[in-house]
Amino acid sequence: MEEIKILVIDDERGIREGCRRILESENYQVAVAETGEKGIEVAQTDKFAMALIDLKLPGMDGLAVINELRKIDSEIVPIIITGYGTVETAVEAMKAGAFDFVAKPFTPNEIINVVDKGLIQIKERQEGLELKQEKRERAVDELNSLSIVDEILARYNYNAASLIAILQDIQKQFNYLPQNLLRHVALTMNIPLTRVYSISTFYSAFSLKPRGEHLIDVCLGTACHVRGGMNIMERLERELGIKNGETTYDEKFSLKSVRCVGCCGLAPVVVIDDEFHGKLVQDKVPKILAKY
Amino acid sequence: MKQYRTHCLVCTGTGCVSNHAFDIKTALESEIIKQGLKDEVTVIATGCNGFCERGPVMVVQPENIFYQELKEKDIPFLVEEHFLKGRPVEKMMYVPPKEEAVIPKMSDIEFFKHQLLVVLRNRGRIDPEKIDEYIGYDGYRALGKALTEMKPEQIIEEVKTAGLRGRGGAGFPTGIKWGFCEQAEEDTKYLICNADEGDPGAFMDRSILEADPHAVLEGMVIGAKAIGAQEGFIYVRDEYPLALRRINIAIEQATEYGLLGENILGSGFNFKLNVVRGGGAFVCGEETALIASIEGEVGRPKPRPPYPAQKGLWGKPTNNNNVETWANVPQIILRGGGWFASLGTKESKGTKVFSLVGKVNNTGLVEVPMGTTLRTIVFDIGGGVLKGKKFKAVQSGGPSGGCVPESLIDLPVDFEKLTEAGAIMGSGGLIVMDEDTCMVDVAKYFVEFLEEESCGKCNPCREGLKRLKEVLTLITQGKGEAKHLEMLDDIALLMKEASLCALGATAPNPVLTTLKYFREEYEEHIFQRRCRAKVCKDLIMYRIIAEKCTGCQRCVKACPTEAITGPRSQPHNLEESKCIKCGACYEVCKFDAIAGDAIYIE
Repeated sequence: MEEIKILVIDDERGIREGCRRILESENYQVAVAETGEKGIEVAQTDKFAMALIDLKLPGMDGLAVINELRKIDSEIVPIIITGYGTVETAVEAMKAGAFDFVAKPFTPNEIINVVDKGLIQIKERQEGLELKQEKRERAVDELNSLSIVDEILARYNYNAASLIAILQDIQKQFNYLPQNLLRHVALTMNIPLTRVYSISTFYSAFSLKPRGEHLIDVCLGTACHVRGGMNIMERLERELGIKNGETTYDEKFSLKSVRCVGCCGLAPVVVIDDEFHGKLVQDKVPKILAKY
Repeated sequence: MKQYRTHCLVCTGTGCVSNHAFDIKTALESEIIKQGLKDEVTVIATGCNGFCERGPVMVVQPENIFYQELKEKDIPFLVEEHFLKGRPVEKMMYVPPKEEAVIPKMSDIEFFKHQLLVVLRNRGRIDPEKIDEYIGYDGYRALGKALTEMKPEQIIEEVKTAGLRGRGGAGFPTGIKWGFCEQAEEDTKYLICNADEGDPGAFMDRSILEADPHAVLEGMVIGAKAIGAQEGFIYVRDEYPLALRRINIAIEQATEYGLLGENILGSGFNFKLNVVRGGGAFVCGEETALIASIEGEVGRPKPRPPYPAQKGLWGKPTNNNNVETWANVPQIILRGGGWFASLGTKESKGTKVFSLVGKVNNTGLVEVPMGTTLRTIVFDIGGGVLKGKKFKAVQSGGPSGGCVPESLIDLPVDFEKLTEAGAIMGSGGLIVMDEDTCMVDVAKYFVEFLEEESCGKCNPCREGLKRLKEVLTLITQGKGEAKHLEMLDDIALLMKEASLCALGATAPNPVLTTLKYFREEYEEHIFQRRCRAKVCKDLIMYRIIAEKCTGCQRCVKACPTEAITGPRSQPHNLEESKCIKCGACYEVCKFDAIAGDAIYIE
């Protein structure tokens, strides 16, 4: 994990070093400064997740420091340290943009709690960003994929007789038949979704689930069967930890039995993506898998 | 055209391509340039040569030298020795099983010697992606004759005289079928070429499309003229990318040459051809299901009548034939029905392409006259059973077919004789089985296959296959009972009588023929809990024969569950409780030290 850096700005040496000791024992990286000006200098040279700032500092006061720090790094989480009788000011500081405050004198636990809360805030903010990003990408993706499907449909003149070919082309493009695209096909071609669905489940070429990066087809045609194809299948199942028809957890491999790929001279045969592995014995299976 | 001293015909059928034939071709070409032979030696990529077992293969003409199992690294040596110095390289030539001397010439090799090529006449000698090469060997001459000199009824009469029967399985006379469709009074008619080759172990349709696509096109245009069809469809499995590519190129080139499309050869006849990719469903080999699939529907069979000849594709009269049938047509028109009828037997004329696979030495594609005996096919052409094991049976006709036992090895193969034996011709897959093949397991294999592929529309097929599978599974698990044999018979009979289409009606064939010819194996499974072929895992255990074990540790390394232990050079120990009976040790053992033996279950 990346180290989390915290900046402590306080003119009292005891508070500064106390904070450092407490936070370092929690595995944070800590930098200290005794004035606001020095703190800002330090913040310009490094990225801090959080800053603990004394409200009453010689020279530049805490609120001004928060403002300056934000100019340097808008994501920094500022926390105010305040003495007796200045709680109202602390509240004001919060209004001015501090995330939280802690009143002197404080116990180590109080400091740790407030820092933890700050970190949760940082994490949530990042996740929110990622989520938004993902949603945005998905929307773009959806738009793209719909237009790809539209192109395919146009190529076949929206002819319902070409439905199988259309679905084959969609699957070639997306590796499986995503639900939303099937709906789009039915809607655009003005045919019932049930028909699209019955075709995509009847023919063995189609998959309604995402398939792995590599498709392993184990030939179980008669020639492969009598030359031990089933043993190869069972070995693959054991090596990959999945059953025939499933996809590995990391979506790397999908395993499927097929009926005769027409290379009976090479029996038993396994086809991975488009590459043929013929005259197999079980012992070769792990070596072949390792190549992918 | 440029003349070359030597032609290298590299097989680029799917079998050899899987063995990196295109790399061999590239290597040859660059080496020929490197050694300054590019004006003397040319490299041609041909369709399937047939001898898939030995791929990648190459034939060098005019000497007719057959090279096998080529490796990229050997190419420079080969080019230098053979093409530069004129010394054919023995180490890449064919050595028959149990012999030592090489056979340099293709025509002397047993595998090729007994074959008679009609459908596959262009295999391994033309580049299927160049129409000129097809034309060079009389291609499209039959079409010219049919369009300019013959009336539709004459074409049909010629096909009837030839006695050509459908090569897709049922063997219905092609000329009569065409006649039905020709007589249908409709303006719009369709043709279909069934290339949805679904029988496991059969790959002749793929090979024909890959090796000689124009023969199929030419046959279809002739058929269209005879029937009066304006549009045709070739339904090809999507799993056959190379066949798809070559048929599309062929259509493009034929259209460009005016042999397809509008006003063919200036005769005023129009015919348009479309390629449809199949979705991967075995039942789509059945013609009504195939028609539904072309219409973009789910491929479920429909009751007949009405037959497609009256109401087929989009309700119009439709004639459907298999790839091999279509490929026979140009030769019949060109050389006459009488010539074709002179080949084969009384009821089955011409030749048949078989894919000879399984436990046989020479796996590959063979074409022989109808009536050739199984013995010739398996032992002369096929070179006998792998590793000198004992021959047990030949399975013919795919999942709808049956197993022909050793006692019938001298059976002349034609439609009638195979049906009499309880099997069928089917599309021509011949799967050789040896003493290590368990016949109960084979029956179970086909039933499982069909259970998965049954479309589920009619009860007898859907439920019958489920029950057959249950019973067979119990037997292979050593839980069989005497009554099970009777149950198998009952279910099979009912399915034969009551199923809607041929898939269900023929589905019990593998069970019935194995019951007929190998009943003792069923009985052993049931009464002695024994699988003599050592296939059924619940009935066997592995043990190490200490006297034969040299302690080489190959099996120790191969065992995935660490059930085998022991130091080097001492007989190993196999711990039964850890053994999952995967057979990995058996596969790697070079000393026959690991044997499966029957166990008894109380």
